[in-house]
Amino acid sequence: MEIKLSVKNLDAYYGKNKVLKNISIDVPKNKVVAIIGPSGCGKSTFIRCLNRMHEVVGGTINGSILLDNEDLTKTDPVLLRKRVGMVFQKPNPFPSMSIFNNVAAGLRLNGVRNKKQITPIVEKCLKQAALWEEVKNNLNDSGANISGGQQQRLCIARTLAVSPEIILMDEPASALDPISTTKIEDLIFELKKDYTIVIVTHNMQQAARVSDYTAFFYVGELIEYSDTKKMFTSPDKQQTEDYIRGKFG
Amino acid sequence: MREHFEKEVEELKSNLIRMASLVDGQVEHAFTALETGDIDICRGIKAKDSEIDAYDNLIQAECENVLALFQPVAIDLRFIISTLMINNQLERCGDIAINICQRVKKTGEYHQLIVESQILDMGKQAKEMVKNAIDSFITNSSDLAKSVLVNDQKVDDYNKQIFKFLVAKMQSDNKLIEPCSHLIVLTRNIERLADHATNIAENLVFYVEANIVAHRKKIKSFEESSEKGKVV
Amino acid sequence: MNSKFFFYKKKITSFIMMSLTFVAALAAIIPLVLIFYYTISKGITYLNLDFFLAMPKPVGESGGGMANAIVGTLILIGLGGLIGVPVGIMTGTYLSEFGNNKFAYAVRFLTDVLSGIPSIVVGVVAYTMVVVPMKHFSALAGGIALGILMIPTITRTTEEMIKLVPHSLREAGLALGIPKWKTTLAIVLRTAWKGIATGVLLGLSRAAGETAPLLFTALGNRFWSTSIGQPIASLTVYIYDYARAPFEDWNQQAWTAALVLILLISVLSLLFRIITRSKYKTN
Repeated sequence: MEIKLSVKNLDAYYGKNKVLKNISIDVPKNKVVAIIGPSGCGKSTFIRCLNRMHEVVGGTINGSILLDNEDLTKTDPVLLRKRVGMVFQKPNPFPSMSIFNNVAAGLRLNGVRNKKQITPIVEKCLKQAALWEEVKNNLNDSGANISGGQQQRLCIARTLAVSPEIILMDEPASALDPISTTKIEDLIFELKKDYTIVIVTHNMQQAARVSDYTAFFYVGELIEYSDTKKMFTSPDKQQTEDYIRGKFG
Repeated sequence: MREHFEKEVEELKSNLIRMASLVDGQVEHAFTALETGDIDICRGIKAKDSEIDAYDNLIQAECENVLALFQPVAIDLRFIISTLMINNQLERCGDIAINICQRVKKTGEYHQLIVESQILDMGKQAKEMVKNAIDSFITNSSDLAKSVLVNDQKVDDYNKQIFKFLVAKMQSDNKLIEPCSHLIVLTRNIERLADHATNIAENLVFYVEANIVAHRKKIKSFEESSEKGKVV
Repeated sequence: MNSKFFFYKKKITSFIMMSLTFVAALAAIIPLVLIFYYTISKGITYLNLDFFLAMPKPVGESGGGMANAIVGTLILIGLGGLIGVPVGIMTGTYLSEFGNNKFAYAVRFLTDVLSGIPSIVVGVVAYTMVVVPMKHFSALAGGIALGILMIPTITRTTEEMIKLVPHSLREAGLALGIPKWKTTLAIVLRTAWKGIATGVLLGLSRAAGETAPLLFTALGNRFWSTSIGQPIASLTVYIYDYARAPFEDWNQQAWTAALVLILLISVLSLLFRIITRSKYKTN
């Protein structure tokens, strides 16, 4: 199995506060890795290290993150974020832009000006995000005027437009209703054919449904990382078992 | 939420234990009748069986509820799965107890034949297996359950021997054909009782150790033979 | 029994408080209504096309207009805006996006102080800095004074409006691999654009109504002039001069000038509304 992303001995800090301790995880290509754990366990911090958004809020890291054997901690964060896209917890389309421009934003602001070049990409990404059929007649409406679930898929399409290799998702369905959640989950299944996905989720059933591998974080440490089936039937660590059974957290 | 779940699970487990003790009693009665030839003991055994059937339905419904409402995972999920399966096995054990009683009624005059044919020894073995299987899930002891698994072979061996013995008897004396036929069915019942006890024990091991031990030998021998096939 | 009593007591308290707020709201709009009433009723008599197109007549001759003052005011606001708007918006952007340091804290403090400085003081400063070296009054000096006066308003509104833009949008931009400066420009400022425009309008309106700083800088001009190097007429200075004059005719024209000033600001306001009107329906 080809390893797409390899995190080695990663420590993360907020000021002097160590929030991630010695995390090592290998993410295989075209697989979905779910990160679970109670609030404050560092799972969001972890994926924010992967596209170096952790630094934006003043955090620091130690250790190495290898994307195809290239150390991300030593590359330009702006360039790396085109390769490692991110979808956030709350849908955050740009309200001042139309649906079309939302998807085109990443291209335009990265210097692609040719409309002939942009239009097919926008269409392709909206189709990939399973949103095309719903918005193809109102591409010029505001990106903020569609439903929450549609907004989140719009954000996914926007992320796809800059053609990343890895997509990070930070609780992408936690603000959505069950039907929209199902759509996002179906989408994750489709997307993993072309992308490698790391998803943080509070919903353990969701982790069980969508992921191939699951990592359990607890107070900044990686407690267990293995095959999702194993994690949800017979995990090795007592802590993991207690957590997935709802005994704490 | 967790407390709710634990309450439901406790309720489920105590129902299963109540059912098990009923089954245990039925099996005990059946074998006592077999040993003594006293048919009176079998009276009331059918009424008790409908109680067992009621538990069977109740436990199934409870399991369904827990699955629907709590979506258990890991050991909790294995508990529900094994409970469902043990429930099923226990219900059949109850049925077998009735069958044994019926055969005892029909072979009352030939008690000597029962003694000679080692059926009683086989019965003891099977009864012990049932008891141990039930105890193993009351105490969550996978060691005890594994001891049940080992004994299954003994019962099978008894079954073969007794079958040969009874066939020989039938060949020697035409009058014995009918009682011997009943006794063959009886041994078959006892053998199945032991099988159910084995299944219960296997489910208990699955619950405790997250390990599916059923059919292991068969699958292994099948795999080995198919591997040999490839080589050839 | 008891609960009923409390129920009525609550209802009555609620009614009294609501009435009080209503009265207060009424009191707040009374001056506004009075201002409108007086300016319109007194100013309407001289409001005709000539007022917009003709030049002021010498003393004693009736009629004439304030064409030079209207154009002058527009030029002064324009000049002020040219200085105040970019400085204000950029300062506001700096304060909200990068303003987590001592320098920004100082800037914020000084902007607040600046907004509290009487406009006449700003006029005096512009006088010493521009008029004295140039050796004569000029539209440029007036524009600089007005520009300085706009800066605090525009800066603070811009900062507040940008702060209202959800942090998640900045993150979304950065996560797409867009550099920070582009994210700020194309996403943050664009989202806050409406609010910023309101701030700019507020700054321009305030500047349009200033008289004191213009007395030392643009001075006023009874003749047609659009040169920024020369003294220039403005509506406010005209109002000031005409209202004080001992001629009934001029007093009347001062009212009309006031009305025109209000109209000018209203039109400006309307224009901004149209420009910044959202392309999208909001639900």
